[in-house]
Amino acid sequence: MKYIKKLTLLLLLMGCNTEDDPLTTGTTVNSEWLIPTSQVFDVVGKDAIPALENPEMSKIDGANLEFMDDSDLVLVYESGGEVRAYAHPVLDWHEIINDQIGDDYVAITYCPLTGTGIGWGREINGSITTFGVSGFLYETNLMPYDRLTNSYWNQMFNQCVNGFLIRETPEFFNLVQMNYAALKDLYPNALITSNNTGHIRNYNTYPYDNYRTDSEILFPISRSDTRLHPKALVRGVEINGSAKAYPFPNSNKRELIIDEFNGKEIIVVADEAKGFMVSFLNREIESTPLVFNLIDEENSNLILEDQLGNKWDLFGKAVEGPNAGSQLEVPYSYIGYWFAWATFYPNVTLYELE
Amino acid sequence: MPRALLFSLILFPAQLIAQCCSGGVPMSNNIGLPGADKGILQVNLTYDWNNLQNLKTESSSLNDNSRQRETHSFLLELGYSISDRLSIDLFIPMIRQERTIISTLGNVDFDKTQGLGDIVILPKYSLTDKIIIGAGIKIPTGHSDRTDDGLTLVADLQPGSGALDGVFYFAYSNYLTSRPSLGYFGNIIFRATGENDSYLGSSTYQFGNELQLIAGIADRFLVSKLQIDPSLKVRYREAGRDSFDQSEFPNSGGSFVFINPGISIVVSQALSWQINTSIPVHTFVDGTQLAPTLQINTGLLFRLNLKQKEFEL
Repeated sequence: MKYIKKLTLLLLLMGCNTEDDPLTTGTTVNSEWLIPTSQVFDVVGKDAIPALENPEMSKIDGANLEFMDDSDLVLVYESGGEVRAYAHPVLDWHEIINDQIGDDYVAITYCPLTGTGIGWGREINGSITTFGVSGFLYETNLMPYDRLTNSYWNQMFNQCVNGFLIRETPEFFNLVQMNYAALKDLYPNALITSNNTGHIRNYNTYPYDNYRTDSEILFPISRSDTRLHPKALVRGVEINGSAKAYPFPNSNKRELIIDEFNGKEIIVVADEAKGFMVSFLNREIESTPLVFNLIDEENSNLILEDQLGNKWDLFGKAVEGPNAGSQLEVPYSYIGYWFAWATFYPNVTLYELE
Repeated sequence: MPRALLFSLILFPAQLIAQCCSGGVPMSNNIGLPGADKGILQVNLTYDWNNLQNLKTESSSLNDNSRQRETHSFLLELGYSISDRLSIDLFIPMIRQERTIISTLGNVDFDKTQGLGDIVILPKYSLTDKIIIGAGIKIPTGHSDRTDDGLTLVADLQPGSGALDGVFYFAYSNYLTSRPSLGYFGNIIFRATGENDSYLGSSTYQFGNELQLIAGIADRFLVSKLQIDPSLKVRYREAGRDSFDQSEFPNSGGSFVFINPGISIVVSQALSWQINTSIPVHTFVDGTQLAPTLQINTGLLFRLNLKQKEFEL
């Protein structure tokens, strides 16, 4: 029986090595979190989803765009007259694109699980950083990390939630989401991310099956709201910490919504066929509140006309008229799945469509 | 050919418990110890290393070596023959799961969990000298809520599954009458998975059911009075898709074919040493997943007659 005893001892020794390692017992490197860590899950590991840095851009209908369908969505950023589009089929696989347009250092952050695309400034406290994908999810939403300090951020929480830069808020860069067909019509001179990313991925395949349209949510969230289908796309607008969500109107034509929320007049223009919905705060020019009418021209990126004769584009810039060059303020707002807005803003107001 | 030898050919690289990407580990490559006479206690001590480094979309490699998963398993398998036909196996794993990611900037991210895995109890019955059947359970003794830096890790990085599974086992073996030392054999192993109902708090997670079909041959040679048993096996493994809160989980499940060359050296009647490798020759993963690259398994098998007071190794 002495050999049985030896075997038993060997097994016990193996067991001793495995249970007491502090790395497996949940010590926290940075103890303070602004979000409950019980809702933060380490899903794939840091950089398992590789963010892109200054990726190659193609002209519309240029090279390496065979993977794009007209119905694919893109996130469009405009700066100094240059328009760049970041394709969902690329972002589905990379989630963050660090780019520079002129003097704008921007990170295109996109979470495929919440459907949210938000532009973040990459200049934090005077230093230029890049963001990577931490592999964590909070409320099933993307958590970037910045590579200068390794601090963790949450996209929809819109703040650094753990680490050296805790409580820092990134600068908001307005992105306009639309489909590829609309991009070709409205911004034919835009540049767009190609499939020459430096990574081999199947960009013409959506990596999450039917997730965009089914009712399933892949990781736990803390609440649900059944007023809309979970994956209904809405444009959420946050004013002073409160949110209102605007669903796409049940219409195939361009729609103008003028609404009041938290003391602000919100201008929303939606065009489901082109996949865009934008929002602005109304403003006065020379003490005159603007009154808008919709411009509904098929191949024009001008969407609003005011009583002064100004014509405003999708980014809220007056490009024609006496006040050309003026800008409408874009509130903190972006398109995402309804369930995500309802999770992050439990008291979100839902705009009632007529 | 002695029955014990025949069934020893069926002993496969072991990974009963650890869960991994569906290309990886899951269970039961080698579930089921060789058949033995009444009163024999078999003790199989095994170390298994499973490496996944090949990122694939379906069957296409993405030529991306930035991600690596390794599973180190220390396995103790005890088998006792209650009678000449009835035996029971107990399988106790210690699992260490490692995940390494090298970013495009060269930064390395390393995470690991380790601990007791899920224990399997498998009663087996010899229908004939050539056929053994078994049915057992995998008990969720392993942790399925391990954390890293305080954050809960996902299911396939946990040492345990958190679920009670059913395990079904069939083994057939025979030998050529023209060459009795040359045996051939086949295994069917099926795991019907249960549901972890406390995954990431209050959600449910269920690994996909798993089927393995194994066929192989082995022979015996004498080299300087040492008995050497080389073997070659083909293993087909099919893993169903996992589910989260009763919905299918993307990028899980797949089918795989492995070639398993191995060798066993019989040191004495009571002790043998074996080493096996598992080389993937066909992989089809659902969606995009890390797929198996190489698995190596080595171990010692002790056969102890409890009716005797001393054992000669």
